[in-house]
Amino acid sequence: MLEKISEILKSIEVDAWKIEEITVRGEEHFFVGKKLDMSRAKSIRYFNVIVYRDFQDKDKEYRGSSSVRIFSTMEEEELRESLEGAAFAAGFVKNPWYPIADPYTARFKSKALDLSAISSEAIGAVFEADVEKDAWLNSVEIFVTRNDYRIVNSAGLDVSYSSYRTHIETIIAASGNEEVELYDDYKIALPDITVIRDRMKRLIIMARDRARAIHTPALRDFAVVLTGEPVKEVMRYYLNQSSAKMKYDRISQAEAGNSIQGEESGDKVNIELLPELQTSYYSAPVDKDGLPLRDCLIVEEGSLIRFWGDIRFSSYLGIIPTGDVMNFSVRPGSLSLDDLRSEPHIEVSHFSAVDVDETTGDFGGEIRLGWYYDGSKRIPVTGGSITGNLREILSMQLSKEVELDGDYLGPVSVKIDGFSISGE
Amino acid sequence: MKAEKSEFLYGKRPILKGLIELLGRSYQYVSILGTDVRGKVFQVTTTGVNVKESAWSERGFVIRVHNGLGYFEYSIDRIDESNLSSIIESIRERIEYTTKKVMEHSLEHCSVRPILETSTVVDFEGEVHSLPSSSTPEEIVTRLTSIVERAHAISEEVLNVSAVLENVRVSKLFLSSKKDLQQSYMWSQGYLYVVSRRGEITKYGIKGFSGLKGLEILDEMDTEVESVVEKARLLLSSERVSPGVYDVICSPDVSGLIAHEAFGHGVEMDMFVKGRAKAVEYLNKEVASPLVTMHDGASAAREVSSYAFDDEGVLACDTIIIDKGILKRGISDIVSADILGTEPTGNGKRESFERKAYARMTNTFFSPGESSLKDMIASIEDGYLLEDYYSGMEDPKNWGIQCVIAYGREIKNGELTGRIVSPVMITGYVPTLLKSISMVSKEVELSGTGACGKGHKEFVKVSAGGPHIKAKARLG
Repeated sequence: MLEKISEILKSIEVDAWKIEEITVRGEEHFFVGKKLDMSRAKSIRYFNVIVYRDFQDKDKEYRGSSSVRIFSTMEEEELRESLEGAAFAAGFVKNPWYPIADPYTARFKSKALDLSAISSEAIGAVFEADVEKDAWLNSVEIFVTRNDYRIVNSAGLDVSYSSYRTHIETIIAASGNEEVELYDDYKIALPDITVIRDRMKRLIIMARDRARAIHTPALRDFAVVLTGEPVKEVMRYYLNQSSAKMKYDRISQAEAGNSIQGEESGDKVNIELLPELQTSYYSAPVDKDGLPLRDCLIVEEGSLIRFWGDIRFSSYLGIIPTGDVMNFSVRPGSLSLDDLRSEPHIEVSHFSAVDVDETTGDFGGEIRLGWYYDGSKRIPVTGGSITGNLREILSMQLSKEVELDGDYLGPVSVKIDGFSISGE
Repeated sequence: MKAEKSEFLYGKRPILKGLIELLGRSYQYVSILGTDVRGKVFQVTTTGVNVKESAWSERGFVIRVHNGLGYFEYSIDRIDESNLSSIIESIRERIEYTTKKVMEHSLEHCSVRPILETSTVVDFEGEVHSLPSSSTPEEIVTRLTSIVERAHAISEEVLNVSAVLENVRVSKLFLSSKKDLQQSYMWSQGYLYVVSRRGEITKYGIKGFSGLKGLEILDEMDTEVESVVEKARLLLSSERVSPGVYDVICSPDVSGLIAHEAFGHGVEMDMFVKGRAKAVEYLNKEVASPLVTMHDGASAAREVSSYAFDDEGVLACDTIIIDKGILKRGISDIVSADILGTEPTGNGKRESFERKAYARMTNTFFSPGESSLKDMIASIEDGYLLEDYYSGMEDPKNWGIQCVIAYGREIKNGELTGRIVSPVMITGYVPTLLKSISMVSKEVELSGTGACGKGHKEFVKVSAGGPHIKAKARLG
């Protein structure tokens, strides 16, 4: 099919093109308590095609593009119609010219693994932790996929790679003041039994805390310690301010050599892109254009070293592209978790949803699970909210301890002064 | 003008029926959903133009069988004579392996019985005013470009403008031994997104447009350029709300968000099966003020989640969830309904043929009341008129609510003061919020842009809305 697509592309009026072939095989298991509700399997193949048309207007070069999804079931007539339609539409898209990835050939090999065996390991690891009476797994969904990618373009690029992905969604219930639950969304390349088991055990302890939590009190001028997923999203804000696309679109006001942080005191961030972060769900050797990816420091001691981005937006900024990398790391801070927790604060590990606005810097979330420390006692709390703006915080301190969470490797906690807490 | 059915799906009918017959020799229940969804996105921004395939585009099949113990599904992009045997063998193999693994891990099956169906035939083609094919890409890009240029011409504080149009034609086929259902319809959505900057402060205004429409969306977008720019600029002088409990008036889209997060997600009946819904304890009890009646249904309104049948072959319904403050019933997929002994409500939806079906909302809204917005504002001594929203999150287990509202207009002594607070987070306990509703306006508006997730995945199209409602809410 890929050959058929490129054959048609060579025969129609386009100046360049890129084809991405994606094949996904997967196994899924859905549990209600310890009972299997449903199993699923999938086998899918499709192609994403982008066509490019070049033109000039008043001595300036432009490149138009249009994308189309091609299904493996398309016959020649429908296939040709789809590609010609995309080529026609591309003629009305007027963007400053940019290159496509340079040609090379690479086959990134990975071991062939048994999806059923991977699922079975994940199931075993998750349910091993479900042994407590007052906290238990309410429901579990496990998704395991093998994803094969091949990217070819009109310049002669031809690269292929594969990845395995494991996604475990868990609801942990606990009984206490009332029956409560905690939601967990865990993504990793291949399941690590020890890591999964430990994660489930930690979540069960947290669910118990939520079951005995009181309502978050009304607090003014109180330090906030974020732990886990909220930290990742705060750090992602700084990552996004370093994006070439955000800069080109005028949203980011960052400048190379200048600070990307506000006026807050405390730790400065150091951010590095890690395309093949071990065990990350998102690791890949190349980006969506087929550009080979490498580790890359983008922020050092709070200052922007370089913008990161794909070929198009990097060319617009006149910089060498890093590629669209999916993983990032943040260097640890100087204080331990115990240090961060040593003075009165509210610590939050779970919000209903962590809202960080990359355009405005606004931060917010309803507290599902936190702990209020008044200087002597640490009490679980729930309800209320924390809001603020990352450009207006007074101080930020990063923990020494780090963790891997999805596409993020970095401090597990951050202490921030300058947020508002809404409670009872 | 009709949204025509997929020729691809139509051509597959004989082989799909043949596969159902073959699988029916081994399994007590067999159905196949075929989907063929194509869409296009046109986006013009200050800095570029994009024309791309819609992320909703898909083509494939999901085969569902019941093996006597439970359900198994197989999602595949291709069914034809050459792979029929391998499909049948793959299903058999996977079921055998799964059953073995369940025993090895000392787990059990849920032991759900096979669905009992009644004979049903549906052939539906939805209509829109003007199909996307009636305009060329050039015409669409030109219109969006003029919208962007008009926005910039209003003020130098306008930093970046994005005008987006997305048209999606949905075609689905559902076959089983008893059902033969096919439908096609078109929905569209558009966004006008204006980023403004004054000094170091950056804000944005956004307006969505949606419905079972075609290019009419562009006409609607044309009329709102000035108001979205004004909103984006107004927010530049916004302040933070002081956390506390206030009298608020929620605009129709904010009302819709509350309906969606509070009692939409809260009554998805697959949560009842899992013991994750507090609503179970409150059926036929008071959960809201008597002024509150709430609907959900693919046939309850004409918006992006209106269809003839859901992804499990159940016909569309209009479900009254709350009737004058009393919680009456939830919304259900077919399997949950069977387990609970209730009627399915046509709410079994999949993100795509690759994903499992869950109980999901369709078009969710509060019914209109009798008050006028003018009277509602006049009734408030110290509060806010809340408009537009960024996001929300559900908590069906404990009835918490999180809504991130774009801004509030301050009301003092019955009048708008001109002061704006932004953003505003509503949190609290759902019944407390809904029981505090004391006024409901006469007009209802629905909006269906974006997507609804279950947790952080399984994204589907929904719409939500209502009238203006006056309530007491915790803001932060």
